[in-house]
Amino acid sequence: MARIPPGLIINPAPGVRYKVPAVKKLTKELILKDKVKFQKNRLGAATCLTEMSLMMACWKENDFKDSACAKEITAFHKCTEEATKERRGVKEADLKGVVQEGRLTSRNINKLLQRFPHPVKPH
Amino acid sequence: MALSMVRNPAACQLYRISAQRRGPALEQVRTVVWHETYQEPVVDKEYYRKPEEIDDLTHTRPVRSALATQSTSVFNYPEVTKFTSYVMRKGDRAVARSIVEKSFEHLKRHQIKKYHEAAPDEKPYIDCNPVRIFHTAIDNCKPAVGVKSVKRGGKTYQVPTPLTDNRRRFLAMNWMIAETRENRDWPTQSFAKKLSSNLLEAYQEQGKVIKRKYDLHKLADANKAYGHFRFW
Repeated sequence: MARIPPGLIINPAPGVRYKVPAVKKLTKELILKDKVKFQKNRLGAATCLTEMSLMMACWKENDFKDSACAKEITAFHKCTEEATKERRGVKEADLKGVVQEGRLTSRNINKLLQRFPHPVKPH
Repeated sequence: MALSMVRNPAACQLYRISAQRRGPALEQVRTVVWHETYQEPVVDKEYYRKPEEIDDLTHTRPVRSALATQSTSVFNYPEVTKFTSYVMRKGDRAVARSIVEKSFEHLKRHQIKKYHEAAPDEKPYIDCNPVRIFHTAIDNCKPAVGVKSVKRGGKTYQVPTPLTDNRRRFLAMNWMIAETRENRDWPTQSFAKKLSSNLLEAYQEQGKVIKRKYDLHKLADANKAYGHFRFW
C-alpha cells in the first residue's frame, strides 16, 4: 500500500497537485565536536563621547578656532589614547587566556573543551 | 634589559587583512629583501659611545644597512623626511627633497626680508626658522576628529570618530600637497614656491588647507548625534 501523505485530496480536480514533504535522512552522527565556532568580538560602545561633545560645544562658541579650545582638544586626545590602550589590553589578556568580565570567549571555551574531550569520537 | 630599546623588529607591514570573503585572511602586500637573522640597525650616536653590553648572542647576528633617509645628524627631521616621501612621485626622492629644501629656502628668504623691514618691537616675534614654521603649519592643519561611514538600516551615516596621530599627520600633509598641486599657475609658479606660501598661510592659521580642516570639523559637529553609531 502506498504511503498516504498528509493533506491528501481525494479525487483532485484536473490541474490540482498536492505536495509531499521530503523525509530528511540523517547522514551525520549526533556527536558534538570539541570545538566552538569562532565568534567575532562583541561590538563595543562608542568611547569618549562626553569629551567629544564638550569639544564641539567649545567650537560652536569660538567659531571653530582651535587656539581657543586647546584644553578640550587635549582632553579628548588623552581620552582616546586611554581607550585604545584599554582595548589593546583586553585583546592581549584574551590571547593569554584571562577571562574578561565573567564571559568566556570562543578561544577560552575551546581550551576547556580540549582539556575535557568528548569520550565518543565521530567516525 | 640594556638592549630593549634597540634592535626592534622591522615595523614594515608585510601582510594586510584581505578584503575578500573567501580564502586566506591575510594577503602579502610587500616583501623584505633581508633575511630574518639580519637585525635592524641602531641609528643613534649615544648608543655607540657606550661600551657594548654582551648578555646574549644577538651580537653574533649580522645587521641590516640603514635606510638612506635615516641619519644621526641634528639637521635630520623625521617629519620633514615623511613629508618628502609624500611629495615624492615615482620614487624620485632627489627631486622631492630638492623641492622641499627649495620651499624652505623661499620661507627663510621671505621671513628674513620681513624681519629686516619690521619695527624693533616686532622683531622678536618673527620666526626665521623654516623647519619650525613647517612643524607649526602641519600641526595647525591636523584635524582633531575625523568622520567614518557607517551603514545602518540601509542608510550610510558619517559618524564622527577619533583619529590616530599617524592618520592626523597624514591628512595634514596630504591636504597640503594636494592643495599645492591644484590651482597652481604652472609653469610660471613652481611647486616649491607655492608650497612655501601655503606653509606660511597655514602657519598664520589662514588659507585653504586650514579651511579644509575646519570643513571636516564642521561635518563632524553636524553629525555628532550619530556618535553612538560607533562600535569601536
